[in-house]
Amino acid sequence: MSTGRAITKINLGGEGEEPSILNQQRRAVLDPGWRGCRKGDTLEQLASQGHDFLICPNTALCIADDSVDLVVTNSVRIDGLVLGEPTVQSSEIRRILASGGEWVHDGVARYTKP
Amino acid sequence: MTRFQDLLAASPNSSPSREQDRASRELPAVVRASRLHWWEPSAPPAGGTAVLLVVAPWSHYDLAMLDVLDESVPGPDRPGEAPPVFVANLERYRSVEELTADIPILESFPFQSPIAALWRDGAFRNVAWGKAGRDLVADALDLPPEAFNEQVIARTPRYSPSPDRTSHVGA
Repeated sequence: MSTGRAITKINLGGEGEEPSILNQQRRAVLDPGWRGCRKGDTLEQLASQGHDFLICPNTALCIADDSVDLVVTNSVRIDGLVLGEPTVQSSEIRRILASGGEWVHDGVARYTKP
Repeated sequence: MTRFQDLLAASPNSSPSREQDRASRELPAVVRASRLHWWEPSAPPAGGTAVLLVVAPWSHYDLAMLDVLDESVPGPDRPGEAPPVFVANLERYRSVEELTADIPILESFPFQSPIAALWRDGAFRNVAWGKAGRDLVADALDLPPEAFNEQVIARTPRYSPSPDRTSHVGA
């Protein structure tokens, strides 16, 4: 995905459940067996519905420091391991948020970067 | 009733990861206080049909599903009307190999939770994960799968940019 636009909002671990927000997923999303949690859609189906994806590791988001206005996380493990794989990292969220940027987890604002 | 989703209640001076840790610790007690059953791999059901759900305690999708099931399955005063639903915590498994040791028919990597397995007459007969896992448990309990899935999704919180989203707790 390359729109040439700056990333200002991102849904880490997202599957398109937040309209108009870029979704980040690990490389596992490229496995032909991957399916979205909500409706069982494939990546291709989600993309054809207009959802954009950024694919990068949870531990090293390919997003500049202090650059994002909104980070959304929904029903994803924070700072953990799932079946041996590292999950979304709060340190990465704090790194990429711009000053005044907000982290909303499961619909609740949890952190605003000073 | 939201006894399972309440496990993830946000609290001031906490953080999402600490709340998820708490939900993981408290899940067995909440299951035992519900109409569902806690899964002990060392003591599986002797016979008949049962459903095992390996759930992610950080996932509102999974916890909302458990709430819907808790409201849907017959209570102890109506034994035998539906297969019992057993619950296990995905966090007890450190690798997919450990998970496969408990559910040998799991042949592909489960990219999503829940992992649902149908137990019949002493062995697992079918397994699915994610939305297909919810379909499997709905079929086993004679619930309409699409309506069941919609119920689960409708209960799952998400970001709302509207002015109504005023809650803010410290991370």
